[in-house]
Amino acid sequence: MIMEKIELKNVDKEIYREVLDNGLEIIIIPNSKSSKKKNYYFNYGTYYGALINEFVPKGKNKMTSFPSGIAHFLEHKMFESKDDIKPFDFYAKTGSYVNAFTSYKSTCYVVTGNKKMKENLEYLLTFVNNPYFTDENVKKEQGIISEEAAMNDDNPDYLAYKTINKNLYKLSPYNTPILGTISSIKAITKNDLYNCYNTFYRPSNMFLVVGGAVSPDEIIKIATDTLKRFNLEKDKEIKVKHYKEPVKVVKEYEEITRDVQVDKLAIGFKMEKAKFPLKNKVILDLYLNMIISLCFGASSNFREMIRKRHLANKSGYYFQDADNILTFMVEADSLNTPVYLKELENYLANLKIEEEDLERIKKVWISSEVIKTDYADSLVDSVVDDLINYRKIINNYVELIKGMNITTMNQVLKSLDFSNKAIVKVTNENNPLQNN
Amino acid sequence: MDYIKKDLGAYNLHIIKTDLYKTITVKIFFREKALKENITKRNFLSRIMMLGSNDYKSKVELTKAEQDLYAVNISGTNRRIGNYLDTGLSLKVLHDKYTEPENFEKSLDLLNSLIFNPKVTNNAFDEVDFDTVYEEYKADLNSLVEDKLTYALIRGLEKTDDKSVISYRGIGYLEDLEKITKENLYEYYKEVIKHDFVDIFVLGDVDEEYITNVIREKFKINTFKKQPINALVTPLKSSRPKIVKEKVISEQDNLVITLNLNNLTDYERNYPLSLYNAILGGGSESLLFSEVREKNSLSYYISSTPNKLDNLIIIRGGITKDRSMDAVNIIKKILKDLENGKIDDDRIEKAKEYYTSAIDDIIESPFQIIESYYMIELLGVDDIETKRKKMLKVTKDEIIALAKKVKINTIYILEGSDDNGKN
Repeated sequence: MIMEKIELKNVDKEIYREVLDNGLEIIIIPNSKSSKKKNYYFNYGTYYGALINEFVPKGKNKMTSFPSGIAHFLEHKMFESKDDIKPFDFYAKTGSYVNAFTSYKSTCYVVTGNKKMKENLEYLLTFVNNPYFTDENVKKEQGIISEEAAMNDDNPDYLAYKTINKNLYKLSPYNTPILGTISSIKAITKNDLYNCYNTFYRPSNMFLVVGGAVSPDEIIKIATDTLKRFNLEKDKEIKVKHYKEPVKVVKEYEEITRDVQVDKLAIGFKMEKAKFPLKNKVILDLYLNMIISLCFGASSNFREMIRKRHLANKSGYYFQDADNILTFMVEADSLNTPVYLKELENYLANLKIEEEDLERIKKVWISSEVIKTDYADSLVDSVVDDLINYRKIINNYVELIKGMNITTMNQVLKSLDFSNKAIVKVTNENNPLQNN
Repeated sequence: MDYIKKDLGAYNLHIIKTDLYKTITVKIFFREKALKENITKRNFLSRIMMLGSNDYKSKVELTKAEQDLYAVNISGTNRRIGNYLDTGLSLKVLHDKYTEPENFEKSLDLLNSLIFNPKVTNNAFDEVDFDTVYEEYKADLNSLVEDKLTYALIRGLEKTDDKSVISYRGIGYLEDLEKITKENLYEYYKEVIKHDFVDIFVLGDVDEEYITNVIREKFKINTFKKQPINALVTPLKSSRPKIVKEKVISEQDNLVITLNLNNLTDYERNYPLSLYNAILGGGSESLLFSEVREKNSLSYYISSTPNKLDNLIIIRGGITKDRSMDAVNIIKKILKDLENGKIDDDRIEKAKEYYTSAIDDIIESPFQIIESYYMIELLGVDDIETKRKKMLKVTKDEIIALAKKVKINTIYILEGSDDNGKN
């Protein structure tokens, strides 16, 4: 077997890649030979998350719609098993950790441990390939997930986040929480789960990323031998419904009354991605993150201003990527909502970046690429992010960062359009902390 | 990994030499006896110290300086460890061989400036910084009730015993905040610098002599030598379990149960207790998780944590509205079963595996390594390898003996109610 060896450039690290006959892509990031660390990290994931609610199920030919929240529900249900031993028990026996996460774009099953690597990997590949859904265990899970949803709804920050997404997107499934809604959760059936499972939990739609105290050859052997038992073949492409999300927001303003002490603001500025000069998604993301860091990070004048004038207590800024749409999101605990909004608008209308600041952050980012190589878990996470976002490994981040320049930055800045926005305010009728 | 401890008079310097990391990590611990009235001041102080100093006049200037030093990462945390209030100020930066000569020393200078050269004029902290921290802190304290999980924990502990140190709110108190001035904060700052116990840890691929000299030169602290206090909190008196219910607008109930640990020996506290808790509610294979969540679908999160220095175990869970008492009855039965020795050997083995894995996990993070040495320093606990050996030898009888010393103190339910405010 000849594995592909990939050098992570400028950070002195090698990783290995192999695609099995059944289509599973495996990436291995071993510790250096002299390392005494014993931990290993597995991430076994599928390119299936809350964004996919309509698709042609495997073995059928009709586009079918499924209740929202089903990817997350499925993730919970994968921890059922026909045997007495369930994944949580199994991993507890070796003192290892197992968990799973559903995002809009993926569902990932993770295991961390430092003993019995072979058994633990075999079992991960086995339980994720062994669904066991019954009417009874589906009903039980509806209770648990409803509590998870209730816990989230008790959090006003989450409520603001959930509402802004509903008011921003007309078609994109970003408009519904990853968990779904209480009624969509209750609508999920055993058959729905099997349809989703059989379509997306296929090796050619999945990846396995492994890091830490492991040897590449051993991993490939374990994966090949374990998956052989399931007779999995490479699939044709899965037909998934794509949405052409309109640029216009659904609802520009909404106020929700809750028992909060400060106003919780969520703001989204929707833009058309086609208007940006950079077509390379990786590079565009680097520039967008650089804007967040420079214009809204701890070294920004904006943050200093809102801090000194007590306009907001906490605030977060990021870009959300929804296919043809790019949304600039703001979340803030506002202490003076009218002034904060006015200052934000002014600031956004005049965004500016100096070359020396850009160069300084480049240095920061390069340092963090080097530091990351000390932590096998960070490397695994970073590779998984690349796969989910770009469907490939980016092995030259340091080069890409070095290549960033002020001319391109200014072009990106010019392409930002903050004219189309939605605002959600979670507020208390007599809010004690507003300092007007 | 080589560990060296040096008594530098006013403080101990601990050097952990290892090539496991490309970074050098420095952590300075300040600690003093936990007094309720100092918690808020102490939090305020570390917030204001992280905003800048006489050398870095604003947060922007400070952040830029940190970035110029190849993103040196500086942070501060406050916590209570038993009878101590403990503040850790830390620095993590790439080793000079990956950056440039003197980058590490310059990073130390920056940390040094934040600690020893605060922005103070006329014996008072800078007014603008003071107001900034004050407003932010006030908003945080006011928002406390919004986080139902944390709020329930705080109330549950206060209802357990509002006189005991175990109930002190780590986040601080609004009424204490209102008493803080930029002058009395500076007084408190001087107290901390002069009187706190100090330990300095340096971890990385470093030379012992060089580090000793550079720390001695840059950290000229003159603390008075004091008698250490006992970190262990006196166990709470056991009487009949109390049930306390409070209402809040919420989609679910939040349950907190405090369990007294009576007359534990040091051995029991360090060994059987860890295993008992792992079995009870330590993870996703624990009894709480499997009975309350998996079998009865009453909750999404449910777990228990041992606060060994507080002589307490705390059970926390988010429970389906109006079903908390069902959960409580299940939990009571679990505790009873443990007391009666109904423990599968299998569960004990799992708890041991869990523990030994946690030990091997320590070297995955420089901060975890430092923390484990700090606990040896502070509490005199066994070193890692001794711990591993002793833990593996704990018997079922020892766990049952411990289970008999566990008694419910308080059952606190933050009940969800509908009320108005719904959209």
